[in-house]
Amino acid sequence: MRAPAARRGFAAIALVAALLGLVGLVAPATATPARPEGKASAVDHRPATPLHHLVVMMQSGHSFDNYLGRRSGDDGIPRGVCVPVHGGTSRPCLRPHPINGSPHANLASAAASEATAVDGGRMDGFVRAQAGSARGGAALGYYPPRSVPVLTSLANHGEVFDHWFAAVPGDTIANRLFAVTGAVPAGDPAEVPASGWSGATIFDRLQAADVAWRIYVEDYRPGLTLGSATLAERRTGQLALVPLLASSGFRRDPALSGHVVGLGRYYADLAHNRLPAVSFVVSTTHTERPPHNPAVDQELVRSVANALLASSAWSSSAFLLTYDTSGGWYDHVPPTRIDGARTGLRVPTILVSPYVKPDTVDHTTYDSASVLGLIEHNWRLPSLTGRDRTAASLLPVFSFRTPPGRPALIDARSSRPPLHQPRSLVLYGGYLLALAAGLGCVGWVLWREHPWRAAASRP
Amino acid sequence: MRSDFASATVLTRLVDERAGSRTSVARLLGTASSRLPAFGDRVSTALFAFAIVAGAALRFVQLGAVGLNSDEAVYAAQAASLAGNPHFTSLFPVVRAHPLLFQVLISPLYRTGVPDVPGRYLAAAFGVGTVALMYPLGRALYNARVGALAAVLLAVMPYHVVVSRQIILDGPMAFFTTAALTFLALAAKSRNGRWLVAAGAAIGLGALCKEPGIILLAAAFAFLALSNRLWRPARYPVAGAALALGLTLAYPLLTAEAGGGRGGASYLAWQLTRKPNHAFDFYFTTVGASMGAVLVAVAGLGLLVFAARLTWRETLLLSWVVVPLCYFEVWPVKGFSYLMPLAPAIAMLGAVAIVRLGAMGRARAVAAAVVALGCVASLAVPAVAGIVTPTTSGLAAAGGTPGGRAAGQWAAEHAPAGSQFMTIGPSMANLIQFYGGHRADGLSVSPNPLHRNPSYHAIRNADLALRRGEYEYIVWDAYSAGRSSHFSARTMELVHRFHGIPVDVQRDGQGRPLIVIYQVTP
Repeated sequence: MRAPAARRGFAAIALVAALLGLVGLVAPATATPARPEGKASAVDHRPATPLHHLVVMMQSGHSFDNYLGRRSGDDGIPRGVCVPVHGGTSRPCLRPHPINGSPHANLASAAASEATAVDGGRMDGFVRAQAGSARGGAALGYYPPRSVPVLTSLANHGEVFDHWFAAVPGDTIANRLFAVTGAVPAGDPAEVPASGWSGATIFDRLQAADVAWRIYVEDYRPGLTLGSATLAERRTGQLALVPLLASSGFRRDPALSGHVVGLGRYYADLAHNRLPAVSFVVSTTHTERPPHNPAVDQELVRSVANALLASSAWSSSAFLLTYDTSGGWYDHVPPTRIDGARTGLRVPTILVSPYVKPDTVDHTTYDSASVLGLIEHNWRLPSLTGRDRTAASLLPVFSFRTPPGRPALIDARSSRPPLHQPRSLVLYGGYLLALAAGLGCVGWVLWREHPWRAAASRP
Repeated sequence: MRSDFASATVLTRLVDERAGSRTSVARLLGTASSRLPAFGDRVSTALFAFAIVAGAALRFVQLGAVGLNSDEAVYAAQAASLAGNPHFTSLFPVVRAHPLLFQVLISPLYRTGVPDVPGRYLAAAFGVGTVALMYPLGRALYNARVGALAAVLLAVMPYHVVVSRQIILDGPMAFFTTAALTFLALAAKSRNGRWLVAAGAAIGLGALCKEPGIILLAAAFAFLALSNRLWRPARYPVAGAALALGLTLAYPLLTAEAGGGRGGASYLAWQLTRKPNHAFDFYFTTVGASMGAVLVAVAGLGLLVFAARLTWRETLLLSWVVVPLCYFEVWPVKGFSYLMPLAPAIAMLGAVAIVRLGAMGRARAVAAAVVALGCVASLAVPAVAGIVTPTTSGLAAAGGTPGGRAAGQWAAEHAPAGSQFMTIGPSMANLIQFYGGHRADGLSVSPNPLHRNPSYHAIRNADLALRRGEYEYIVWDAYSAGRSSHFSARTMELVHRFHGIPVDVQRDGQGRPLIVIYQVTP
């Protein structure tokens, strides 16, 4: 009796997945989400690889060149590049320049600005795109490796993807939505629609397959829902950054609410060996989005990554850090097309895992659909859309043949200066000489005063 | 009655052998045997053999049952750093507060890995060696039976057993100073100043194990002055003193030559300005009890009861006890193990009191036997108990630290490379560093350089350091908490503030937590 029911459930999953894949977009609508009913499935959803845990963290608003453009080995800022200030003429122009701390600039990063910056692939409109800003040249700033120590250390510990593009040529909300649905929303929404999102998410797939998952949200406010949110709260904060919170399925299904928890729970889960198979970590305060100081906000990245590294789950885990959009910052590589759709600019993305070779660079073209693809492949889930089905696979990055190595902390900080040790040869020689001298004196006296010698010398 | 009296007379004569009746130890020993070092009667031989066997058993059995304590970890790690062991070189400086002779000797055992126990075997060997020295010392001062009984008393003395089972410097120092005491006794007995040269060399070697050993040079000169012996020819006492001082001076000279002079000077400044860590009566109560209240009482009563028989021998032994005791009482910092050089002299005074009592007739011989058995039993029971049930008092040098090794090994196995630990005090920090291979800093370490061990790093602003992610773990331990409730409370405050989650708990036999490691997040 169970088998036919399971088959029906699976058929429903496949049907919904196929329909979503054909449609290929998710629009604000009131349609029923594509979550199949029932959890029973004939498919074995145990991990297909030794990867039992995946932690995905998505930060905001930085291009690849802005963060990793000066890191050796990467496809970084070309030598001698100069970006024109005005359109149609190459002079005057501005060169990328190093910056530190807070950029003091809230760059325009919507789809329209990005199109101006890209300028049909010439990549010479970044100053013009910020025309509304008092300092248009600010978009050409980049962070030298020493200014972003956490990111640099993370890159040294793992694999850097220097052709990882923002999936959608738009801003945060569109890219965040794509990251969990694999579907491109209509337009470039500036806020979450009051009716919320509809359509299937990767969490529906995980839920249906009974694969453990959780979304850890920094400063999570369970009381802040779509119904109670103001317009401002629909533009930024947890509703904008966690599409699931604004989905109709989440509002209808109380079981889902237990999967969205505060960030503190992440550390507790790690300490108590309860890390779910798939975890999304969402920052709401330390987002790195300009004008935030990346060095300050990346402390959260460091904390999240190091907690995983220090846990017992690490030996079967992977940590992926990526960014939703380029944030208006300069990047020299034109956007590409994936599965026929134009992408946004490159964003920094780093994968760290005991199964990933440290300090390596991957030049393959990816976007956040590859993360969905990795989850779907590893836990044997049906695809959400055509984008995640055809996305470049991340599995070749892993090497499961070698046993996981001993972890090392990201951006480990020493509380004290290195020790200066004295010359051991001097100490060895000196003390052994002193010991020989002392024992020699004792031996001389014992020999002189030895009873047998004294008896022999007695007449 | 006559025979009893005769035997008692013989014993008394043996004990109170008149100076000059046999003017050299060579003659004394030579009459006993022409080929081998002489042993006394069968009882003495049996007693001495028992002392060696019991002494070795009490010092070597279950030597690795409990992990190192903080002091041991420091000395063993010094040896490992000296040997170039990469696990230790970035964590423990070679040059710290004391000379390095013992560390040099054990360093080959610490070249690789994280071994903890090997150094204890050498320390225990020095302890057994000291027990063995009691026999020639007793013979030189009194007779074989006194020496053998003193060896038994020292062999089972809890204080000597506990200290000998640890990688601390006082045991080897006591071995050399006991050798010096033996040479002084031979010099005084034979009126041969040449033994003073050997005594000076032994004191120098003792001071190269731990610099307070040089105090015994003052004890030696106090004896020479009080007994008015051996001053002439003057070249021998001068040569002995020069040797002792010369060997001692090798410590600062080698430290400076090796490039560690600055650290050494910092230690001197710190030692001179440290606040007292124990009350004035610490040596009389804690250390006295560990030496054996019965034994100390017997030794003291023996001096009073047989005051009429006090000779240069008792002057020598009392000089060996009183001079260092006065020094350590005046010195602000007091340590459990500091009185190790005194233990052989106290055992000898106890032994001679018992033998003298036994020489006063059959009834008193029985009483002496009872006193001897009582003394040995009162010493052996706590000594064995200390091995079977290791102390959890946390008193420095009073034993290993239960749970410390397991906590450190947890850190080694689970904490990622680059992790740092915050502890209540530096003692637990030393253990985490030794076993775990991770940097650890004590919250109680003073930011004032005058009030802290120069090797320790002060956490100037613990909140900021934790917020900056400098420390991934906070360690609470019952030993440090017992010493400072203030820093214990401060530690737990930080644990709660930084969302501490217990990731490892070490407990005692009753299930009470001894050490808790919390993982913290900014």
